[in-house]
Amino acid sequence: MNGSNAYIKKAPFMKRFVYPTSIVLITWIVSTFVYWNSSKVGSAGLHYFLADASGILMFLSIGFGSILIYPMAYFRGASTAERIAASLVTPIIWIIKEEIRVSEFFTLGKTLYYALNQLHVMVILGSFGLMAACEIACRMIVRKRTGDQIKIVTALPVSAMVIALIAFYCSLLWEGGVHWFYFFVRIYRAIFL
Amino acid sequence: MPNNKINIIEKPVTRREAIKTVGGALAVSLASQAFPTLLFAKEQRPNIVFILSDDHRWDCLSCMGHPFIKTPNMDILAREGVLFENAFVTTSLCSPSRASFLTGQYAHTHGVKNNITTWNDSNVTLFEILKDAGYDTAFIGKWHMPGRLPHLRGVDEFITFTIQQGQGRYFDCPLIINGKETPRPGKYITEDLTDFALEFISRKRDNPFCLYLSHKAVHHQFLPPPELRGLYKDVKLHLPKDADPWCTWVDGALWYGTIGKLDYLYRRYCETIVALDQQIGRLVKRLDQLGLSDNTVIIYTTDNGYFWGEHHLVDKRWPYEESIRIPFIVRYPGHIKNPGRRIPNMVLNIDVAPTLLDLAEVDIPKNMEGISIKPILNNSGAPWRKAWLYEYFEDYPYQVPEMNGIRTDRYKYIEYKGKKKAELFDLSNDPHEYHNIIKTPKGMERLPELRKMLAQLKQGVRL
Repeated sequence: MNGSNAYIKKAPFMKRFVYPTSIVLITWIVSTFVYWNSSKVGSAGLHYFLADASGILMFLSIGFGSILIYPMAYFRGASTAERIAASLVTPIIWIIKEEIRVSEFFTLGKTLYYALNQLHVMVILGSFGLMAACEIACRMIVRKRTGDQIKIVTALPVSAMVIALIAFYCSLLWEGGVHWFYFFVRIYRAIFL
Repeated sequence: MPNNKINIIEKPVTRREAIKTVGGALAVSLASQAFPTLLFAKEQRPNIVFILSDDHRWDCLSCMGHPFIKTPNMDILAREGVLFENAFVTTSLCSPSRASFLTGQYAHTHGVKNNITTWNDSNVTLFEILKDAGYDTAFIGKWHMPGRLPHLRGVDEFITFTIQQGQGRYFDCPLIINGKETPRPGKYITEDLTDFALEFISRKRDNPFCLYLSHKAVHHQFLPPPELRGLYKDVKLHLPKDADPWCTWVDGALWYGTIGKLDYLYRRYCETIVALDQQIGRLVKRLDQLGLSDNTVIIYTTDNGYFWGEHHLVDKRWPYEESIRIPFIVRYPGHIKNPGRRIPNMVLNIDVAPTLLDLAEVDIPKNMEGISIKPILNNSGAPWRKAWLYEYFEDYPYQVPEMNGIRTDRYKYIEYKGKKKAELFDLSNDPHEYHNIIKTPKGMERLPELRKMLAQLKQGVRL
């Protein structure tokens, strides 16, 4: 919920939802295309430059797109549900793309189970953590600009950030994420073997 | 010549001496019949030092022409022994390949098909046979097969680790020493395992020994000891044209544990190889100091290769050369003629167990699917295989399809399970396997024969 309805005008759906989402989604699509075709350019230097640039953009658009989308949607009057949905579009499309890709190798059941792997979970929970941070930041801005005594730190965003940090630690930092991975494989064995 | 002297061959001896000599010879002869392994064969049987590393691809040695990496100790082994230029694994994955080294069998036979299916204790390893033949045996290092630690029949000394699902750690890796978990604070694992190996080979003994030294190195996280960190940080890399720094992040590559940019990881990998080389040097030096080298066969090899961006891949599993090809060096001073040779014959991981048994003059069990390389050690022109079977089984969640393939001296043909189309490469014209010729006139001409050979190979091993 926005801190001040008087300060934030509700923009049309295109402006408050589609535009912010599209910026990140299109960035991801273009960077993915450039990345996978960068080796086709003749020059090794240009190949590395393009791969580096597009690789970074690809990574940022999937993992950190909500940093851009959420505040844009927030200040254009998007509801909480819209802001969350907009922030999750690119990660979810990426996960669907990954599911389609791995379906070449796995059966349907194993493909669906793959969706629960730590990278996917981390991207989603990480996005929630970033959204929560953005929510707090947006509230601070609104309070500063309007003087409204809105509550900045509330239980929900803090919980989301804590969960995201725990997920980040377990999926990537705790011995490189191997423990989460082994747990994922153990469940796989229990289900499929 | 005096009357009390008789001439045995040429040397004049007294009658008493003659009786003593003949009697002694008879006694020895009788004893040799009664205790063949105790008196004669044991004297002749070589000690065995089998050194297995992890993920060390075939061209990352200085003796294989690597542009900057220095492996002087592996080079010495090659110079004093023979280097097999065409050595391969039948499944390019840690656990199946390791089980193949131990059993001389394909993955579908020993049952460790991937990093998930468990080792079966009913498998017969070379240890069991060598122990029966009178060897002292030690398995030191990485076991890394799914399931609990095995009951390895015939192993006197079993030092391993189970942490991180058997992958171990480079630093402070707790060891399971003959069943007892032992912390190893402050230890670098390659050196620590070598210390145990040195202790084992240095023991006074009457029997020959078989040391199976199985390193964690140079598997990821590619951690060299502190003194080697940064050794190659400034060298110019020669990564393949289809590689880029983000290879390690895309298409599920993060599952391989290679978090970080390709060039950074590759430098660390090379530094970790140098650390491994140094420890191999310690082992070889000790054998020399102990005067054991002449009667000790050393084999150095690895469980599979590794991609560093070729085909835009990292890790192994796929059937391309970077993944399936391994370093393979045999040093056996006094038994290898013209040391320093390079042998072109195609040898496999499943050949190791039969080879070691053959060198130990022990019968090779019929269920071993590899072949002893003893005949080609000194004569690469001896009859040898012209083709071999590659197999890979699903290893969830890694995104590599099941496959079977055949590799000949010139061609490689791979059939994939699922949607991926079969591939055929002419290795003589396309050594990096970038051009699938399966639909070209040349490919279509070769295909029927290769398919037939593949079917025969599969039939031969009941696949």
